[in-house]
Amino acid sequence: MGDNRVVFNHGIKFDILIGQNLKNGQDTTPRGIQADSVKAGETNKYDDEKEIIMDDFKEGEMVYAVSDKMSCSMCAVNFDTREEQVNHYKSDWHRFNLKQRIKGLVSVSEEMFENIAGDVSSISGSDSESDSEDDSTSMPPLILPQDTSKYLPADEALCTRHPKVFLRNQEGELMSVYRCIVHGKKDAPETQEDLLERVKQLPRQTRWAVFMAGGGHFAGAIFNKGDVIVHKTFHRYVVRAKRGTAQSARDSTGSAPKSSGASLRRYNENALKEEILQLIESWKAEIERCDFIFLRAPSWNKAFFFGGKQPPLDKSDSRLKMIPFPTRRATFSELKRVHSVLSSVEIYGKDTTVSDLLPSKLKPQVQPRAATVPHESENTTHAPDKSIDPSSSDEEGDTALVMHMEEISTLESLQEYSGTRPPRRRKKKKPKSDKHTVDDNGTKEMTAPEKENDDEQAQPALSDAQRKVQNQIFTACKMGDRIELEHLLGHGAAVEINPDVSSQISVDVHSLLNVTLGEQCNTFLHIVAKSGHKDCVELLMELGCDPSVRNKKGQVPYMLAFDKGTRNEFRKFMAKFPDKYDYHMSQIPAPLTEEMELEKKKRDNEKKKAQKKAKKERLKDIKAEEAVKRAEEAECNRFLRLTDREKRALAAERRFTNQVVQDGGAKPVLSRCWQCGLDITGKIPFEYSDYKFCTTKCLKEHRLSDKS
Amino acid sequence: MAVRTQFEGNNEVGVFAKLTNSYCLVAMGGSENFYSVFEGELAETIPVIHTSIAGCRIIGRMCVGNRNGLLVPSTTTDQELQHIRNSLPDSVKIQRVEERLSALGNVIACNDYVALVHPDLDKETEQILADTLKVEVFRQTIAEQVLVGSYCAISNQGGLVHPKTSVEDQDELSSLLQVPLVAGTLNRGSEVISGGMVVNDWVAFCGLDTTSTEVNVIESVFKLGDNQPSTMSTQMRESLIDSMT
Amino acid sequence: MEYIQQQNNASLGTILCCKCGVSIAPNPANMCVGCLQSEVDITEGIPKSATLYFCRNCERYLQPPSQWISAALESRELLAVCLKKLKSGLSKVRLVDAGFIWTEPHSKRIKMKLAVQKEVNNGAILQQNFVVEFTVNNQMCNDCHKVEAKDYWKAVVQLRQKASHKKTFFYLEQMMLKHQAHSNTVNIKENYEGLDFFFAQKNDARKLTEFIQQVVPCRYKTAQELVSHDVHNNTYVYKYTYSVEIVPICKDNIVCLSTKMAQSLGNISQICICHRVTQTLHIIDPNTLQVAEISGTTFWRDPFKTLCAPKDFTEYIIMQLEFIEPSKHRHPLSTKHVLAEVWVVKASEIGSDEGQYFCKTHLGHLLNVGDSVLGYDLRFSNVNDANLEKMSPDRIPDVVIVKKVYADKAKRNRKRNWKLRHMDRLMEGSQTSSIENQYTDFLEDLEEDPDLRHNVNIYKDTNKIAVDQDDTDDENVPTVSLQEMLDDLHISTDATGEEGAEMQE
Repeated sequence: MGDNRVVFNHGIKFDILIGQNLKNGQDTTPRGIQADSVKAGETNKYDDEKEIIMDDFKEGEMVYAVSDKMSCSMCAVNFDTREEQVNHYKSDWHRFNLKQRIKGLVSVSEEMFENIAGDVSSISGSDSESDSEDDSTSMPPLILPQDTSKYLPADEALCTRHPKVFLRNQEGELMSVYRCIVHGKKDAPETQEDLLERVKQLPRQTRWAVFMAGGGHFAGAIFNKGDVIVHKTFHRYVVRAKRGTAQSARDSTGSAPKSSGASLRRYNENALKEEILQLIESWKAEIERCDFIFLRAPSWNKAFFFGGKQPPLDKSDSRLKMIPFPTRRATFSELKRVHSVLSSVEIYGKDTTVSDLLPSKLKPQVQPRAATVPHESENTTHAPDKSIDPSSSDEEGDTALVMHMEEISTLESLQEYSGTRPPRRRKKKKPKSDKHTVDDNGTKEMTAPEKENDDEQAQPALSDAQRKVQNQIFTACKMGDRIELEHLLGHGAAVEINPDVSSQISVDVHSLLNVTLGEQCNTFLHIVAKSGHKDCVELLMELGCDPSVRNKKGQVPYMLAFDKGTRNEFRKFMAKFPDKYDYHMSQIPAPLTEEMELEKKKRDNEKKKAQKKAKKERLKDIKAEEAVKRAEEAECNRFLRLTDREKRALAAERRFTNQVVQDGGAKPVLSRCWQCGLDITGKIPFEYSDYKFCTTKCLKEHRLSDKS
Repeated sequence: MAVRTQFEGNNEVGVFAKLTNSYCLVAMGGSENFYSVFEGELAETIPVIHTSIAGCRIIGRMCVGNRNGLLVPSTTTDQELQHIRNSLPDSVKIQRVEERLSALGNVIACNDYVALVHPDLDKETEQILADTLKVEVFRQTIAEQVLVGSYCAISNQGGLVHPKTSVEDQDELSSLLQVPLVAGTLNRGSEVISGGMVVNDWVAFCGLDTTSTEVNVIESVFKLGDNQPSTMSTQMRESLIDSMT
Repeated sequence: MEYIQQQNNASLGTILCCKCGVSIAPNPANMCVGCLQSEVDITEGIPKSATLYFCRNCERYLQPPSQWISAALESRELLAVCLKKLKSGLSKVRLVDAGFIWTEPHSKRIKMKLAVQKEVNNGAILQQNFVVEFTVNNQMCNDCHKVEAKDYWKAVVQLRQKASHKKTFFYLEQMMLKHQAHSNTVNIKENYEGLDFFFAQKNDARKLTEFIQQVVPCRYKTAQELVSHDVHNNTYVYKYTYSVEIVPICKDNIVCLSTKMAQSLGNISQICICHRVTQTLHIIDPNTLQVAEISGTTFWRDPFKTLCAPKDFTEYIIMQLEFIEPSKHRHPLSTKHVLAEVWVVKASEIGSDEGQYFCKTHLGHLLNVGDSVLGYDLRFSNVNDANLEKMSPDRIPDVVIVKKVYADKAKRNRKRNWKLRHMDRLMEGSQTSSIENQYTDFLEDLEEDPDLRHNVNIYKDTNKIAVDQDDTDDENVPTVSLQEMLDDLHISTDATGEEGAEMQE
């Protein structure tokens, strides 16, 4: 869509280019002239020289000559021109074949290489981008028409959010440049004139510094227009393989691993930091002169630039800008790409409207007026040589700019969203003077204002007094202070508050009840439910807090309820006021009345009793079983302790008894307890000396009696 | 003109010296004789700098340079760098390079316009090379050897390559480098060309062992004949080119 | 001289030889062959001529230090000998090829063509062919020397036994054959009552002496004779003599011990039979089965003589046989023998009424009534023995039975399907019938005594096996079982026979 040109353009330079191209006698394609111009000249010179050399040869008697056979035997290709040859030798295909050859493998054909190329992540060095890629992404800018442009703010919110600034020149062509090169977040132009003025300044601000850091890669360069003044890239192994996070991030979670890899990464991280520091230090003079400093340092990489006692870059530096689009690995070619993208002016042509370019998602809401408004501005023919000189801006004054911008409320709030990116969670909030930093479910220090601050955006009409009341309510909810709450909501809200607005406020209190707060969009009821203040639940609902209001996660207060008691509170309320709210929506399952509660209690008690009983019985059974087992065991032990003869005797006794019983006779009594005369036939007797007893008790008695 | 010399009895002159069209580096600690050979030939035209690189005397293998610049490995000390910088002509840029293959002389062969480099050379180094020495950089091997810097010596006039370089490769390289090439030896059959000699557009220094046949080859391929007062001719040529363009 | 081309790359360009400038293909030295040759000589240090020593008598070549190897001209063996000569020089190069160049045999020159490789400066491998000429000198080898100097010896072992027969020597011969004890003998001569073994080394003689001591009871004495004396370097050359005397008692001899010795040997009776000779004499008392051993030293302390030798055998026929229990009080009793009381009649007197003799014998396990046995008639023999004379006559048995007669001697001889080996030079001269008889007796002894056979290598007699097949009438004649026999090692023997032989060993 459209073509791209470079922001800086100078007539003089253009002349040179033309001249060079003419001199070279080559077909000047706009593509890559800027980068290649010097080289092209040199090559040519070199070609000339070659001829001279050849001449020398002819004069001398030597037979050595430069071969005119241009080919690459490795890749098996022939070339017609030197350019082809040179390009081939710089191609990835050639390099790949070279490596193949060194490894002793066969060379691959170009088609095959194309297939393989996807798999080969990096052909050489730390630079992963292939040349072809560079070609495709590099902007082929040559000249730019500019200045006679108009700022086209389609929708103020949208436009100021959009990473690009759209302009329309006299010709009616729509153009865009990156907003970040025009103005920063803080120094946003107040008026369109101001903005335009800044845009016009752009071609003079040619010295840019670009720094990128990420994943252990660092690349930095200082550009003057398209030329690289200095550049440096380096890479250190800092990112934990597979995990993908920096070692320091891991270390900060607590236990720092002691593996050699970890220490290596730790060391490298420090070394990288040191190197960056040194580099930026050494470039200090250059950086001083830079008009912009572009930075891309995701997450912890920021520490490289702003960390330490003497941060290499000043955070508050107005020249400092973040790169507003995604970038690839920090390499020199990526730097160049970033630079060229940033410095490019996209020209869309006359027929394009801003709305076409804006993200479709937002389109229905916004009707960009810019497109509909015709310009009645200049109709002077737009000659490039004229327009390119920014200094000769006599037309500038005549340029009638159509103002479509409405009042921007606050800039900060506008930064909050961006049309192109999904809303990001901000990890840190700027601490404000009188407010604590708070996290979403903070328990003690949680104060409303923070939430409210966000709230403000949605309801900008909230007055100070209201805010104050809301604040108090929130605190009360959080603390579960029913009395305070009652006091605030019910009656005395006005008492506390400024008498002037009291009447108004007291009316408004109820409107505040269902207001959503904070990032989670919780209502007071949510908060109360979550913190489990049962009494407050009822109160709030009575006062009109709707339990069917969902927060950001789509949860109703009932779902957030802290415990069963809290949930029951909801149900009780439902029983009390069956029609007050849409309970189906609020997901409260069923009403709970006093009788039901009592009944349930009763049921529970019964159940508990039954359970207890069952348990007791089970225990009893187990005990009985164990007793039997123990007896058996004791018997067994006793038997084992008998001598063999006794065992045999016992067995014989039993056999005999069995025999007799089987034969139909009465069970004979073969032995009796010495003491009590109990029949112990077939049982293992307790004995001492020759006496046998049925139990130890008998034995003891016998012994005692003996003694006596 | 090709001069035969020796560094402390060692024929590998290219190891202990670096010669370009605008300056000459010689290793410290050599005999006075070695220096006088260089100074006698060069002192009137270009500076002969006595130095070490990273404390080593094998400077010819450590660094790479041409008329436009000089690349030294990252191990070069600041003192050495300062010394070299002070001694070099102002037009010559000197640059330290962070490169894994730190023996730059072994992995890079260049004249004032083109450079052949080791296939594994870092891309950044390649970039620096192109920027500092103002050369076109080609990754290539010579006679299947990756150490292109060791196995060939090229000047703006011609080049001597590893004796095993096939005829096709010679043709290819010649067309790539745009100088006539010949496969040959020096130091009585040594194939480490760049180790055994240093050459610029008007003079070459090679080991004392180099036979007359080899000298002959060198002189003819590098066009070092006495009838060519080369300093003049290169200057002439440059101006000629300028005027022609 | 030529290069070893390591790879053949067609597209390789040419370079100039670094010395002479001729256009060549690149090689590791980057020099043309000629120049390289002038620079280095890889055959340096390899001798181009050498001397070989050749023994004309046995046509063998000397392989230093002292080995003589028989090798034909242009054979591998000769090549090996020649290369060994050059070993020191060849260690520094790699030998690729070696072969002979044909020369006239009478020229006494051997020419060997060698191809060697060596790595020279910076990895170039050179190969060079060259010729080494060997001059063949004559030198007589040690063996031939010995043959030539006929009675050259340095030590002699004189083996003697004062016995009327040579059975001991036959046995010894077999033992020596089995144990290769005679391997270093220069010469063996037969002598009256014994053999002389000649050796070139004193040690060999000692070894033999020690061997004999292991095998038979004997004693020896040494003597040395000064042959020459070099006063300058204090060397003496002696001839050594080992005189070994074997105990004169043989198997199946009857001895009469002195009372003292009989008492010392467990109160054995004085008249005993020597039933076996090993390192010691094994004697048995036929009346009680008591046995005893007499070592050589014991014997020589109190020597006694043979009462009767096998030539005094009288043949008896067993008339009556009765086994008896040997007395328990005598205690080393033989377990192999069975005591029996027999009535015998002289074979010559059979038919006449008189002359039945009673005696006890230890051969009860072998004898049946009607068998003929050999024994001594002590009553009628005329013995001069001091010990015997001292004995009271009633303790002297009439007859002592020594062995059983199995069959007709000639028949057994014919039936014998095995044979023994002989030492080459032994018993060359005196092949008398008596010695023949003695040898046959020895063979019979071998057949009858398996213990004896243990120490002897017995070989199958292929000539006799065929004859033997039909003749199997006499079952109880002891024979040598086939398992004990070895195949005689002939070159012509088929493989199976050889294998079987090896298994038996």
